[in-house]
Amino acid sequence: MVELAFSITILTFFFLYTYYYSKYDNYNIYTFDPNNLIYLNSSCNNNLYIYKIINLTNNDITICYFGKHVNSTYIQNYKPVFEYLYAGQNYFDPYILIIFK
Amino acid sequence: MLLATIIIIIILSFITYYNPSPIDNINPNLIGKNFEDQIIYIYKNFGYIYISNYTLHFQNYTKYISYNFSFICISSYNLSIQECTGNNTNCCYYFNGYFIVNKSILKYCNENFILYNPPDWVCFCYNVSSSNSYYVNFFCI
Repeated sequence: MVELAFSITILTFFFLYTYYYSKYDNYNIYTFDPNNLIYLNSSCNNNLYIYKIINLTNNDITICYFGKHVNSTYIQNYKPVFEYLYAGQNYFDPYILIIFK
Repeated sequence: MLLATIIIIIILSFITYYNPSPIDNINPNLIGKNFEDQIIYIYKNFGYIYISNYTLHFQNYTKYISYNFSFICISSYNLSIQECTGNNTNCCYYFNGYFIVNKSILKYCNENFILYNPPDWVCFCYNVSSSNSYYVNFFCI
């Protein structure tokens, strides 16, 4: 009986943790302002973020890891927390920006 | 019993950790605002001729991330988006002079007013939906 109660307690805590953790993920998405992220580009000019840029004109994919060009293996353990389809910066050149955390 | 609990937690942890679909968390509201803000940005910075191209990219993008997206537009410019015939969506009503906007035309948005030309107008009523929520909005540039 004690074992059953202990198991139920552990499972309850686990589900509560998972629930709040996923809520936290949701919260993160709304903390990004798209206007502040329009300056991130495929030359990895920003060393504060891990991000991926998918250029829709030529389908080029660029991954920037705190200011460095890297391949996709660097980000496989990070989760996307923000996504946006920008029309372009100085001229029409649509791209998708994905920020990872 | 305790061992079973630990095994269940380990299995659930793996499922949670490797769940590759965090995109499900994006509220349709944010997707809709993305469309709206960028259409306005294009019009102000690049010109209306690029709007059609962006709407095509946006349709493909929303389909790729498993959202339903469709729009009806009203424009005094020819945007090169197919013209609405009554039943279709992702189309535009083009007009000269004036245009009476009402709910039956817009499908998703509950709006009633008259647009005059000039000034020139581009208006969109759009609908974004996922499996459990949706967002509808109307805006004019």
